Amino acid sequence: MKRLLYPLASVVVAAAVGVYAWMSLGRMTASAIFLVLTTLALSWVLWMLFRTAHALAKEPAAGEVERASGKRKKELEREKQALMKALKEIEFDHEMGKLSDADYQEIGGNYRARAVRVMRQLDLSAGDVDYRVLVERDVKSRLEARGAQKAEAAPASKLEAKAETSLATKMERPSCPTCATENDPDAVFCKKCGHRFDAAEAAR
Amino acid sequence: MLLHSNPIATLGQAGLLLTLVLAAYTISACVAGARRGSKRLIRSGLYASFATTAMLTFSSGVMWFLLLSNDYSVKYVQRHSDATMPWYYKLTAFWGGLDGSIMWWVLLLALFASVAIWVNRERHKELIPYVTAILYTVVAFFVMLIIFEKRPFDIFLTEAPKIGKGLNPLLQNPYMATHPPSLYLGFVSATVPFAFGLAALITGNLDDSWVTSTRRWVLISWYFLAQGLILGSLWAYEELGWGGYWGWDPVENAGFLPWLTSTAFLHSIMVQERRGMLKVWNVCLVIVTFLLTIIGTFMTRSGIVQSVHAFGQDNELAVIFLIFIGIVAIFSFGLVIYRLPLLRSRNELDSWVSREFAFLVNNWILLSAAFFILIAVLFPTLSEAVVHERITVGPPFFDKWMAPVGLVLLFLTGVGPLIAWRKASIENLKQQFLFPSLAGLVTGGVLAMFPNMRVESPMFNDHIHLPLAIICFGLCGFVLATIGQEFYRGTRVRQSHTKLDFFTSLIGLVARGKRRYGGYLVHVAIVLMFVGFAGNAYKQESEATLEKGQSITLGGYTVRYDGIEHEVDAQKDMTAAAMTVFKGGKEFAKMAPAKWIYRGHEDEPTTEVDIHKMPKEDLYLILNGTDGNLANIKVVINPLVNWIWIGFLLLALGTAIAFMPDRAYQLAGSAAKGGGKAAATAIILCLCLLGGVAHAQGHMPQAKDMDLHQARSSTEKKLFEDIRCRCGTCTDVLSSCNCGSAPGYRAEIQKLLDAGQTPDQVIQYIVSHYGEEWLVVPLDKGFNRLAWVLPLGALFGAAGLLTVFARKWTRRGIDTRRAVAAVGVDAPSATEKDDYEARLDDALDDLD
Repeated sequence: MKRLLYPLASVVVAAAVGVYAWMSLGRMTASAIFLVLTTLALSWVLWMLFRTAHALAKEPAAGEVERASGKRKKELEREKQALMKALKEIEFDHEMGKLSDADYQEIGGNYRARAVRVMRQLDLSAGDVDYRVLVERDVKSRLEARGAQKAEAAPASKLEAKAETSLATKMERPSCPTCATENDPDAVFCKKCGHRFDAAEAAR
Repeated sequence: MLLHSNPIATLGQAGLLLTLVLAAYTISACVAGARRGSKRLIRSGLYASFATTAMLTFSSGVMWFLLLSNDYSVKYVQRHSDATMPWYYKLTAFWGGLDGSIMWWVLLLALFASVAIWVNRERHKELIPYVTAILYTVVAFFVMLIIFEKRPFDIFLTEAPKIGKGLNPLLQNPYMATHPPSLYLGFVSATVPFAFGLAALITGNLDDSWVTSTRRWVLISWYFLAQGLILGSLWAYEELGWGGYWGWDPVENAGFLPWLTSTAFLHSIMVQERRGMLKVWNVCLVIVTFLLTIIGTFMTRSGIVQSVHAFGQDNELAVIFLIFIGIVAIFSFGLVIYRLPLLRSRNELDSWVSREFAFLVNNWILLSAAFFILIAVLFPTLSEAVVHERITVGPPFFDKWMAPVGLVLLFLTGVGPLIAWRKASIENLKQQFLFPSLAGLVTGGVLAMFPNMRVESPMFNDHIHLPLAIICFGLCGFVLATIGQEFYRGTRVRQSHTKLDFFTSLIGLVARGKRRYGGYLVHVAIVLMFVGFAGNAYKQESEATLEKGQSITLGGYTVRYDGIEHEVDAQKDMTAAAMTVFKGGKEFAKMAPAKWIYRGHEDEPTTEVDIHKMPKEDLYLILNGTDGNLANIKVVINPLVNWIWIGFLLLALGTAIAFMPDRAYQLAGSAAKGGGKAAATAIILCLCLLGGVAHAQGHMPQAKDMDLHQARSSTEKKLFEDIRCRCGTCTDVLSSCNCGSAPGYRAEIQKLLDAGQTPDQVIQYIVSHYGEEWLVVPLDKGFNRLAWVLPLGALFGAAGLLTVFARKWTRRGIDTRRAVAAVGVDAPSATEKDDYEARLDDALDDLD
């Protein structure tokens, strides 16, 4: 209601101008109608000038930020829809015989990756999912990928999980046999001396 | 002497000044806010942009108020309006003159800019401040023009005239009320994608997201340009009264150029979306389209080219525009070069027989056509600068070159959608093209069996004659068959999924792939338009001075002249010739072509043609002049011309389908009758268009001599078509010019021919007596060769470049494939396919 106050007021003022013109001319003319419209434009100018100055004076209100993030979510939703439609189209092209199997895999794969990225962002911006859960999920999948049995002993507390994993990854870091530098778990070459890890070393 | 003042005009002018101040604030707040990451400044800048638009709207409101209240102390109002005009023409007088038309341009731009900013304010947060700054820089430029150069609010400082001069009679008709706004909308909306492209370049956010927004805005711009062009053609056809609809007039071309480049963009953007190729090219296309809209505005406004619609010579304005164009070009292409590392994409072309390559060829043709037209339009100016002689390039020159270009495009329209991405196998080609090729061949073959269909038209030069119309019809058949096949096969595939009946599946198919099937409809529309263009080859015309009761017979119609009718109203005197048309011995229609003389414009009577519209052809009657009870009547039969307008309606429908939000389809799906209703509306629109016998008007100084010396033989006709009438009031060729002096020139040429001179000698004579600018097609010698060489060079040069790039990309594609084969494709492991993938699959299944 408060948001409509100004537009309503300006409509009333413009209408008053119109009625005045009508009374004094004795009939409604096209120029009187344009007088009314011009009054509306003027009040729009004033309102926007006020907003211009107001925006400088004040940080955006919390509610507005929230509304903005809601809109952001809508945008992401829209992008996801667009990507999914593109995927469907590619599938369709494939079925119509205009896209070979290999191309279907590759182009479709690109779109799938983008769609997944948007879905991730959607989950992130939803607010009710916190980062820890995501980290946990990520860690879990990494551990599974490694075939480590530690996954079964996944700790109940999220904080513990964090500590555990950071410890776990530390232990798995291969140190270089030539210069003893600690490298990342997935390193193929030593980051200091360039020694190539063989399969055995990498597994360590 | 008492100096006058006008407070309301002052108010309008003050509004313009404030607009400029606000625009300056908008630009600086947005740029500063974006550089410093200050949300406050950006927000303030955005609101200031809306305030700028509002302020400009206010000033425009004041202008309209002045026009409507007949305030003749304002020069612009006095020159372009008068009290007897109906109120709606007073409204359109806003863009009837040079000053007002620039103001109208910038008003539309500001409104569009505000809409674009409002719609995208959340979508592209990081781009929006720059988008706003760029849009309002353009706004500021044009506002500066109307503040400092072309002032619409200027008043008469001394005694103001009591009556207005009135709007140019040519502009007082419904098409003129709608054609400039559409064309301007097309022009200004091209600024929005440009702003997005540039903002993406500035911020370096060059991923695919800006492309999506940009594509929609390009589509809007493309549509409005098309609408503006078609309304312009309708105006020319129904109001100018020379029997045709497109004269390659510089101003028509000005609208056509950005339409060509935006068409190219709409196609090549698909390659970027699908394959990530051509990023630099697409950004450049957006920039070029914008530059062409500005050049178009510049050409119309500065009088650099001569045209029926140009506003007259103004060198100062020309210089200002040139500087602006130069700055924009340097700045934007500089940015492209600066961002080249980010734009570098892996361009790979697997095969020359692929959709990608078809799109490349499409772009090559469209851009070459644009370049060709640009050169031809600017050639008079160029030649004036270099050899100090204004050498013009007329419609026949365009026709000879653009017809084959158009046919190649038409062919690609059929090929593009069917050919496979990446690499089309023989099987794919056979499966997709067998039926359409047969359809095309059969269409062409059947038509070629009728001898009267085999009309040959010149191509490239006068020595090569081909039955272009039949080729065109054949290609139309081919393209229609491809599209029909697409719809049919698509529906079949969908039916196999959904197990629904054919019709429901068809609606579902269109709803799901609205961009694709909307595009196909646009292709059908283009085909219909080409049918209309091809019809031009079968045009027939005849002309005679008739006494009451005499008649002309042409193409199965007999047109009898029944006498003169006079009428007078507040604005004009009207003289009409009452005609009765007979077909097959039976009375067919009553028609009344006329001349109108507006008061205050006695020297330029308008020609009111009368058109009887039919799907097969139009019967088009022109009253050239009257003398007592004699009337000189021209009868034209324009075959198939209505298919151009119908094609446009379909184009609008296709664009709407591609553009409509998904929600609309859900509604249509729930009530399938909606489709029927829409179809009914479209049919009614068509009927309105066809049924209405147009009343038209056009500017044509009256012929005083009743012997109009029309061509007596085909040699004469050919000569008259090659020689331009330079009477000063028209830009037409001698054969169709209806001005007062054309018959005299025609008589002169006939005399020379009667004296036994060859056509070449006559042309020599014309050149030596009147100058080369009289020739429609420049002589093939000296500097004039440039008119031929430049476009040709561009066409082949671009073809060479295309080949070089295509070869490079093909090789790169082969290298990558080899590399992949050597290493082995790293297939995604099962674990990587996490639950997101699963969710995506579910969502995809739900989408149907």
